[in-house]
Amino acid sequence: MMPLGISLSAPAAVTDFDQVLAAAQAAEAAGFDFLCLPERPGLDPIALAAALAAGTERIGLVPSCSAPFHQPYNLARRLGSIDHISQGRFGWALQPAPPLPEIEHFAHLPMPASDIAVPRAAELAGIVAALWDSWDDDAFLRDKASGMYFDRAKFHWLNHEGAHYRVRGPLDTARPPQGRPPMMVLGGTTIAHDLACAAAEILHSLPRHLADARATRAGLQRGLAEQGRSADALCILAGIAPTSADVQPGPLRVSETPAMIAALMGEWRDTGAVDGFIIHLSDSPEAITQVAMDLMPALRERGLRDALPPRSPLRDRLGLHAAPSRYAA
Amino acid sequence: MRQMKLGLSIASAGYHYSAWCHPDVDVRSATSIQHHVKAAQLAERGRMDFVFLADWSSILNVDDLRIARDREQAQVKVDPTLAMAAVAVVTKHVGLMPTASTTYWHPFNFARRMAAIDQLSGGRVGWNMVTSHGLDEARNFGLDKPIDSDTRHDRAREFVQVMRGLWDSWDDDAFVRDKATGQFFRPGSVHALNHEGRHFKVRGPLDMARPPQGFLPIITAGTSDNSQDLAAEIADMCYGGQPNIEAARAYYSSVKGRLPKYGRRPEDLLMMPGIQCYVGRTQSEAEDKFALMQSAMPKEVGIGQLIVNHFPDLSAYGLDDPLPDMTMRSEFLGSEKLGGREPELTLALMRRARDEKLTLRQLFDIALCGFWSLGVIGTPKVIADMMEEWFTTGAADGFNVQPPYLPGGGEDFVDLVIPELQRRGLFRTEYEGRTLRENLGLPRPASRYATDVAEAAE
Repeated sequence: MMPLGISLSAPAAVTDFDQVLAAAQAAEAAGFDFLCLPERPGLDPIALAAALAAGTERIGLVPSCSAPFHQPYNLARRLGSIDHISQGRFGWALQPAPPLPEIEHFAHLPMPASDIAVPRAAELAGIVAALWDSWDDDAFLRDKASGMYFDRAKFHWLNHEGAHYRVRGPLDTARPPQGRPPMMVLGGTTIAHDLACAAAEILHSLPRHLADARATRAGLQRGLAEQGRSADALCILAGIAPTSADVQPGPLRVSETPAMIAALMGEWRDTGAVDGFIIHLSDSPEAITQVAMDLMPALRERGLRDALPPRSPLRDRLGLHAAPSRYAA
Repeated sequence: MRQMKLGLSIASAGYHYSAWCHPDVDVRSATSIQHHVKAAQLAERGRMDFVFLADWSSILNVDDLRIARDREQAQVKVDPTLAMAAVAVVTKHVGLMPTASTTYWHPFNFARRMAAIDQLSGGRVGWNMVTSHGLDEARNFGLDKPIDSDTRHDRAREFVQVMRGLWDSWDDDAFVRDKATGQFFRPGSVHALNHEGRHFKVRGPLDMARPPQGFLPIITAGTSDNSQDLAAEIADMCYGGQPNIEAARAYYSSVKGRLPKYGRRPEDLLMMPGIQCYVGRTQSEAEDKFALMQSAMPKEVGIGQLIVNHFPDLSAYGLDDPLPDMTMRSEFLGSEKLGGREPELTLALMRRARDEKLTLRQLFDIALCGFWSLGVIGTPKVIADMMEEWFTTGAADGFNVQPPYLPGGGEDFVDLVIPELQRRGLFRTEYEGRTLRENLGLPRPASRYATDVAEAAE
């Protein structure tokens, strides 16, 4: 299946939770794999993701956060918690360097110079993933008869001492249902592509045309190889938007008929330029339902989508390999 | 008539260290959102003011093999703020009181997250404000030892100032959202904070509307002078841990006595001691429930909890052996290594063990229910009598109910004790308001800019 997500990208602040919940439920009913919750004014995307998890059942939830504003221990716990709350439907988007206006709210924190933003964000992402492995999947015996809750041999001190962070661990939450909830990076800059090759499993790319998408793929494959990662370790999803959508600039605008859009998506996917797409829309549930009604039948006709995808972890829906613990035999 | 406030404290499967071993308890409670939802719905059925989730940012001394942490449930949890964000979506009335530390968190992120949860819950979220003093926690944030008490409390005070300042970023009537004129917000209704303090430098404004409650209600705890002063200065509620009415009255008047210093009145701060109850329709049924819980507890867990609370290692003694004459362990006393309750309580318990010639089993029974904090085993009448006495004689304005196990122990309280309190007129039969503040009877604070705006309009 070709992964297909939605990004709520209207430029307006998101202030009405009921509307976002209705949008998430509309996207879920339409069969989309996941919903991106970008950083923008209004409701905090991390809190939003936890709340939406309780109001939905199948759709993946991918909030954004800015690396310099978070301590890795707190972040690992919060994000891992959303994977528990959503029962394996969680992913996250990491911004290595936040936009300037945001920085002034955190003026006492040392902000990374641009040349260290990527190594620092990669270190943060690495610690988060390592903390998620603190407890083996079978660490919790929870055996009432013997009174043993966990096996002391099955948790791990991290004792991380890196260039930017020191964290002892272990994390105080169980390994997330997905093991490692996938991390996304929003592409378009060298910084973002460097971070994606180092640490991400999803790149939300913003190509202008097919040749651009192919060049991005080729560049990323070189970057992945340099990091010792396989070419399929990174799922590349291109952002597109219907011409009529009132969304922030970035995604490729498409104005053809649903059949033509489906053909374009199929072509991009089949030539290997991308693995799937993220459709940028406003927060209107009606707009989501409309796109779904127009586009989904055309995609099904081309064999790109199933009628309704199975209820499964986000990693599976994205075609990512299972993520065994680093401590697994 | 003045009525008491009631919170339901959820500690994974319950407050007994071996709650998860109770035959009726779901062993996965600690990380199960369904468990948290059920507990919140239970509290809502009982018209309780809020559900409460404790928190700390570490596992606890797992490297000390004398403490049987591997037999306890408390090492893993779900982040309380996010658990409450999820619970908010499937409840309507009950308040949501997650714990979060001011020591390793940032006020901008936190103000924003909590404002979002207040928004999406329709004004039902509060905050248990703590400072992080644990060694295990410090080591997860790049430090070799915890930050000292004065600095922690100073930072906490500034943290709250920044949060409240950020929550005032937009006037209550800032957003006009007028499609006809295209005006989204009123000019002059947004305020930059420009905070520069000892711990934080935050420009603001917050990128979201003032929370429905204005300021989220704050609960806090602690017996040190620093903690009591901070409670008197900034808190709306105080979570007490006194095991008997004399100590509770002393704490009640000590904290309330500090309020005038900050220009506040006694009714501005609600004192909410914790209470662990085993409820039975008869006294013997209640005692059986306690006995079942105690028999489910491995001896190692009891020994470990005594060590945490400054006792010597008693593992060489059988459950029915008389205890030796004990002296306070000194090597970790008052240190951040183990945590534990006030040393005076330990000394009192050691004296009692000597005077009453207690066995290890008897020491466990006393220590596990009613010694470190208020515990009671009895019928609804016995429990309501005691709560009424505390409530009417200057020991409590309400209680944080700590069910020994969930949901059963919580259901006993909601189905048996609350109706008794309601019959006596001591507790509500319907929620009074929509927000947590309204139900707690706390006024909604005006924005710091409200007067300026009124003056400017004149």
